[in-house]
Amino acid sequence: MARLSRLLVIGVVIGLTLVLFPVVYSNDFALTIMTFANTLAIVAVSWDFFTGLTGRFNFGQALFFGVGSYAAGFMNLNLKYGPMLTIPLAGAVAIVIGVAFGYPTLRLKGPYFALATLIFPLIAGDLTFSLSSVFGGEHGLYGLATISDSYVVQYYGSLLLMLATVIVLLYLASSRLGLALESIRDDEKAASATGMNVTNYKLVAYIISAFFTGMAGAYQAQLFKFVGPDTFSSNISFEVIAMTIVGGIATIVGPVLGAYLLVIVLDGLGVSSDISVLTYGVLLMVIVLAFPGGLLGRLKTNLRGMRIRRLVGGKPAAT
Amino acid sequence: MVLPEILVFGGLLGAVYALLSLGFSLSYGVARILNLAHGSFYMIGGYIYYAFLTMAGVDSVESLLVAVALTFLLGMALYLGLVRPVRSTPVRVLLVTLSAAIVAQEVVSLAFGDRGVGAPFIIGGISMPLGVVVENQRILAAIVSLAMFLAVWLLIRVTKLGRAVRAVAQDAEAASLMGINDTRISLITLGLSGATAGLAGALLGPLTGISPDAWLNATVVAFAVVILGGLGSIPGTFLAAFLVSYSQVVVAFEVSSSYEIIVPLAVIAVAVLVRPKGLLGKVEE
Amino acid sequence: MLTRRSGMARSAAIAVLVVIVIAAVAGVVSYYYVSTAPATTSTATSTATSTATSTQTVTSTGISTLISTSVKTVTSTGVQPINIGILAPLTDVTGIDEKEGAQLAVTEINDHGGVLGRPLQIVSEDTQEADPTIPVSTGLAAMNRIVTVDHAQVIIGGERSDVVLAEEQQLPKYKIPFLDTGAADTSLGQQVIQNYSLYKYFFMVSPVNSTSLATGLISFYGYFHYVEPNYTKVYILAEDIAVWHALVPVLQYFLPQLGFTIVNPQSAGADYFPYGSTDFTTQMTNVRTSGAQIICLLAAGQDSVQLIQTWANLQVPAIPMGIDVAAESPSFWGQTNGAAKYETIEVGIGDTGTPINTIGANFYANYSKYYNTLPIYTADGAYESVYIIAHAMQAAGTTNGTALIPYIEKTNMTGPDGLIRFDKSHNVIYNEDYTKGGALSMVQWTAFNTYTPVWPPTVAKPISLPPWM
Repeated sequence: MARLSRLLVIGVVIGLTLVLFPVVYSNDFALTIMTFANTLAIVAVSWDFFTGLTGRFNFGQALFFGVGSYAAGFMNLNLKYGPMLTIPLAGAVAIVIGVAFGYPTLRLKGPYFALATLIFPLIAGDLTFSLSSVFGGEHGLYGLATISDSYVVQYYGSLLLMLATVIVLLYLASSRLGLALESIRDDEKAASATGMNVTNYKLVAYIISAFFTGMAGAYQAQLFKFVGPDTFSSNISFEVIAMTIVGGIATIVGPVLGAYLLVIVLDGLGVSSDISVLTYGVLLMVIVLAFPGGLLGRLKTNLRGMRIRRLVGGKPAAT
Repeated sequence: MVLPEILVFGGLLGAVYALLSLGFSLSYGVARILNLAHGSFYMIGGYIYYAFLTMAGVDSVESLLVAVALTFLLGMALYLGLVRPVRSTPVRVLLVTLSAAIVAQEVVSLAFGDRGVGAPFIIGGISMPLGVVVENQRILAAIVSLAMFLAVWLLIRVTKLGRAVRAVAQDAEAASLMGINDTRISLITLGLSGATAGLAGALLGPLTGISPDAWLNATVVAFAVVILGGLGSIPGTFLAAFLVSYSQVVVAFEVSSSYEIIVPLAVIAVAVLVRPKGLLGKVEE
Repeated sequence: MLTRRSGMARSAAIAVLVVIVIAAVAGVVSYYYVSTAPATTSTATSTATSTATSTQTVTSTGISTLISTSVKTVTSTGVQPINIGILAPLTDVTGIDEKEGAQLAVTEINDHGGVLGRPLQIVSEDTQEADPTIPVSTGLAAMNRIVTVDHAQVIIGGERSDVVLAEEQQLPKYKIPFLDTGAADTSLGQQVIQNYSLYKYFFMVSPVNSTSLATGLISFYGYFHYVEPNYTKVYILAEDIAVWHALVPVLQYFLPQLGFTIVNPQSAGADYFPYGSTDFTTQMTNVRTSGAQIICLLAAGQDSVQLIQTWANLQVPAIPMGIDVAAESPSFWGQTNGAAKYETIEVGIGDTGTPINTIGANFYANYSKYYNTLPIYTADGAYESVYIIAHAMQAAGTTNGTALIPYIEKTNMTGPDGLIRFDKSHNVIYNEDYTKGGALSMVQWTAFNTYTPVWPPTVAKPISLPPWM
């Protein structure tokens, strides 16, 4: 218990730092980098909630990001909804898509769900091309409304969304739902033997993951005032995996660190893309070999005091 | 209708796909290693051939041999350095090989640029099998691939080493109880895996051009072939290689080459949903 | 177990409230007190003496006129330079030439005293947009850097349509002129017409937009039909990208009227291949079996390097005549091991190797002298853009982006590509006659580092066909 409230204190302190960041360091470029980092952090955290807790690898998180972006863009252009409305609505649309893709595939055994997730964003991306009159094809949707042109406001918006996501998902992960999901991860057969509908639980986690990622996509749509097919890119799907592994899988807050690290290294330093991707690749390799729990893995035990190394190797879970 | 073209190109491509996928079948079937960097050997083999041929002035056949030798060593190094430490956890193997593939891509990109390179052919000129105009290099690639495939298959079937490999594939624990050194077998398997993929890259590379990101496509194709053919079945890999290559060529000719890339992915999806064991699979996933 | 969880839940709830309250308060405070204006362009006071007349309107001036009326002396200390931003894929030939072309103009202008008594200075950021897998956000991040970190007062650049479109969306925020020298998409100009107050900052200097590119190509085909009437079967082969999707229907409509037959077997009437492809055996085989005599090739990326080699290896009896950006580069011959011979491509009239006016001749000579290579269209465009900006700033007497717009619109300048004027969509006006607008030309690769113009008739040499045809 003491350990947990100490962690909460640390969390609040970090939260305050993030909140006061623009006041201390009012550099426009830094603000845009951090805004972008916050947006990606939401996606990574959502990914961690699903994969970290259920143990099922999702290689297509970009599906929800793109769906959220396009939904927000579409609603903004055609229904004239403002960003404050389109962001949560885009999350809802992502939930629907999550059900559509998740329901038939989550029941599959072995690596087959993971393989299927590779294809989902491709299918969705293809659809935006076939329905190019609606979704703009290669051009995408542009001329979208934005919450504000101010760098500071955008930063706080993204920060708010990110913190809310982290807190809600931390809460859910420590709740009975989280416990159920982790039991699926630890031993799916045993879990279903207790009468639990394993597929339904996985689906719930999947659509929760979808909801927040969809909102992140919608946030980026109003940030760039533009939505393009690259929101379905496998780059995004793989980046969030890398961020989470580096930051610490199944920790919910680890991915945030991983996201900040990746965005700052990739976009913030202005180094050539080859060198930054190389650095990140090497980092990933080192983490997987030496620190399977990620950078925050040692800091964070799971939220009930149990060790959570089962997913990534190491000693088996102690009850 | 372009039937003769489809027959010829599909067949020639299938032979190379068979060689490319053989290594993946071995490492997955024998060592249970899902090596996402398999395609990287293909890419690196292509680049080694290019580099030695155009920059070091080595002649083409020798450059080919160098490419094979180096990718063999690279395969072993991958196993020893990255895979063996994390072998107990499949997820970590996946991630470490993925990161290796990314690192390989970026290193090659920094060294050679990210545009892609086209190496000179081993033999030039064109021939006209079935009235279809085809580069001689393409025919050579197919013949060499088939020969190598046969050689490896014979190795597995006939030699003592091959028997050891098959034993490990069937039951690793029992095999080690019989005195077979698992590390040695895995090293050789990964080495062969790298060498065959590297050879495929060096042969096909001059025709298509090789770029640092070629590993992804190559890995997906190999994966599709092995899943379709069935784990642990070399004849299955052979058959599936042609099924995949013909599907791709048909789609490219009849529909559009824009959809070429979808074919192996679709194959994986269908195989996974309909018949995960594959066509001739012996080992249950 | 139960108490631990509910205790945790309570602490979590409190944390939620605390952080959200702080964030909300900070957000509200910042909204009201932080200026919503983005980075404004700085206008440093010049300490140099100026002899330029401030009411000079930009009439049909050549570049030389600018030089003669600009300041005579510039003090070397304490003068803030004017930052010209180059936003392009800096490792790709299009981006490299863009920067070099701009640098040439900057050097020339600075040698004659600069603009408003201040020297020009190039700042650049790499968008990496030539790589099709790089997302749009990379370009936007680079744009952000160039404005907020490098303090560019004007941006010259762009190459990939979707990236430039996204960059255009950011212009109302930054309020600085953006002179596009790479992307030809017509939507860019349409945005200016539909939403002038927001997007008036955008100008397309080179190439002429995709409709004009099609017009030029069609005119050439008409001329070709006149000199070689027996070659009528055309196979359209294009990268699967937006700009060609817009251009192909125009070709499909006009070519038959000129007497050509489009022999593509595909239902779309054109063969689209994925941008970034490397294997072209399928396409070349299709060309052969369709009986085509001409390949109308449309390529903006580096795909043609492999494509042309495959074409030559397989000795396909059809001559490639189209638009091929990679083939504009002098190193294309080397890249294709000589297979480029006989390929015929559309270029700006300033890039044929045979300059059409004095300015073009000087540009060409100086470019080859400084950079040991010949320019492609982005170099001309960047060179002209710098002069356009310099003219406008000189005439407006300020570097403020919004104030410059009306002056840029009034541009009436002779450059290497002909007469530069803008229409309502801020696209440079195309005209077959280079004294009346920006003009195009078709050139054919004939030897190492050499291509010769084969159209328009005023500069044309005869077209050669490959020996196997």
